[in-house]
Amino acid sequence: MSNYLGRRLLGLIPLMLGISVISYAIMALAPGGTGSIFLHSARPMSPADVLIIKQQLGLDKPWFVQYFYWLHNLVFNQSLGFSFIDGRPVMIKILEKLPTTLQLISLSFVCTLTIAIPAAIYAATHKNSFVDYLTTAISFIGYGMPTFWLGIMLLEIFAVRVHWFPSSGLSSIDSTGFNLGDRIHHLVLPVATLTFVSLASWMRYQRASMLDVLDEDYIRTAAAKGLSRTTVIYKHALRNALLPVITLVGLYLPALLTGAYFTEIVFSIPGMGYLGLNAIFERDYPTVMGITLFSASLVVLGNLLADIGYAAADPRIRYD
Amino acid sequence: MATTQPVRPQAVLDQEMPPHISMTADVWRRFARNRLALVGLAMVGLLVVCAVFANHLSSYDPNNLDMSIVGTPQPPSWQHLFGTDADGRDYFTRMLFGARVSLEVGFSAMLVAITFGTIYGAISAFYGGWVDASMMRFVDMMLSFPTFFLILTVEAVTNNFSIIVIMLVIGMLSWMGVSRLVRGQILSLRERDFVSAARALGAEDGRIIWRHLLPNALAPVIVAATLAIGDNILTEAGLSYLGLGVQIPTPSWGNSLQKALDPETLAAPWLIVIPGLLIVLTVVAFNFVGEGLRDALDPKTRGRGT
Repeated sequence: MSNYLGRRLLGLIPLMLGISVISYAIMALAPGGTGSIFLHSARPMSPADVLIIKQQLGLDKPWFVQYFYWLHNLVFNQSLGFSFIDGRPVMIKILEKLPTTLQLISLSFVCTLTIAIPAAIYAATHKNSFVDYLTTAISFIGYGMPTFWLGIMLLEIFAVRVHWFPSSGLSSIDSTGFNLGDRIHHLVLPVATLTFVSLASWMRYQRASMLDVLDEDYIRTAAAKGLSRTTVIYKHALRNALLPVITLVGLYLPALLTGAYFTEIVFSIPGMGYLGLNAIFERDYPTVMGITLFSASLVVLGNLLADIGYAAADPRIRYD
Repeated sequence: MATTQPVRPQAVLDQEMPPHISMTADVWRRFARNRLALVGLAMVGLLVVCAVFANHLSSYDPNNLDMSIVGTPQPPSWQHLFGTDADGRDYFTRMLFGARVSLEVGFSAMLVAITFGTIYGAISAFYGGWVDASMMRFVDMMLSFPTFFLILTVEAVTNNFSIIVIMLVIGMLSWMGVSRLVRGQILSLRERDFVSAARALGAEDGRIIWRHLLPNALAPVIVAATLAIGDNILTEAGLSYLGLGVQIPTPSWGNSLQKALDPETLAAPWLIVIPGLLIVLTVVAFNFVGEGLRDALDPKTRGRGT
């Protein structure tokens, strides 16, 4: 296991390097490229001045040389550069927003699992029942539903028509300091949005996995031994049915992040997605690059944890 | 020793042998038995008709502003089936033309992704070794990015929002799944005897890939292609909603929702409900068809009587 872990961690180095090259290349190869910093200057600059500043910042070098400057800065100074808009360090801008996004993701993740697993078990053990059809219907609809549209609909119904929940932000304007009740009140609609669109994948996958397991010989054996239905389903079947689902955590993370970004945008929640979209609109390339890199790192980390979790949970799997 | 084979009259053979069915007919027969798949196909068909004949199905111009009602969206009526938007344009017409945009982008981005992904996966699997290893590491890298955010960024960086560019960007950033799929298929096909036979007969690499490997790996690709159209339509809607996709005044389901949170739009719920429902129905329809195809094309169950 430790051998496997070591190899897995070593493999992360080329992966992360590749990811950073791709993030950098997209920005650097843009028409205008990194030089578009000059679009933001208050007064027009003479070409000579532009050249001097470019030389000072190293922007006159080809993009792959600039990439090594950037990488060096990232590795040795933990710096992602400075925002084009407000000049603040990108690393700090992102780290400020990260907890908000993680909070949204983890809350809706817990909600998703709490609903999806029992629903999927019931659907799998009661095939062709009403709940089974409902689960399938929700799976299809949830999959086809744009996150932003669901957010807009919930907002229109529960914040605009009936004023049950606030429509935007994370805290009321008049509130001072952190107030848990107020925070939860603000998070209900965003979390509900993200949960519903996530439910689709989870219920479908969990149901299929459960159905597969219920077909196995050891389930028939357990039932033949005279074990109660509850024991068979929750002890023998569920444990095995949860295993392949661990992998889904890793696979689903990119989609979950995208969903969270959309949710933040619709509900004006100041998280990474909100920051990223504004950065995209303002052509704030260092910030966009930082968020791209951070998102990819989160996904890589999630995949790593899923793989380790899988190896730890399934004694049949040996990695040597 | 001569074994005596009883010679049967042709009539008996005809009775006992199952009728010969071509693969296409068999797949269709099994597809048609799936009610959801048929519903999906009908919905897709209807949508295609709407998109193709968009300019014949409505007497309004999608961009014509009715100055008498600008600023006050009209609710759905017989005159305006889906009402009018805040600029006094007939919403039904805009949705028809929006279907055209969605299908165009969804279908052509799928073609780009499938073509590129198939070629990529086939080359990777066929050559194996370090070629395969490095090509697949690149796929791992690309899959680590939240695809939509990457598409959004590239769209913003390109700063070109013509439908062709949108379709290329979506296609060129969503081929990774297909390449893995094709690679897996070909890896298992590569070692089969018929490939060795082709090679022994002197077939070139390109011919082996094109004539022997790809056709046998086609079934899951067709399924993935159908599902990809739905995914691309969702992506286009998201891009257009954020203002980084199809640009107003070109009608698109996504960009119709751009002003959804404005007070005057919030007061006119049909402007929000209709485009969203159309997106959901379309994506669900493509998923029904895709799932139906998956079952119908699966060689493990094909030819079985159930």
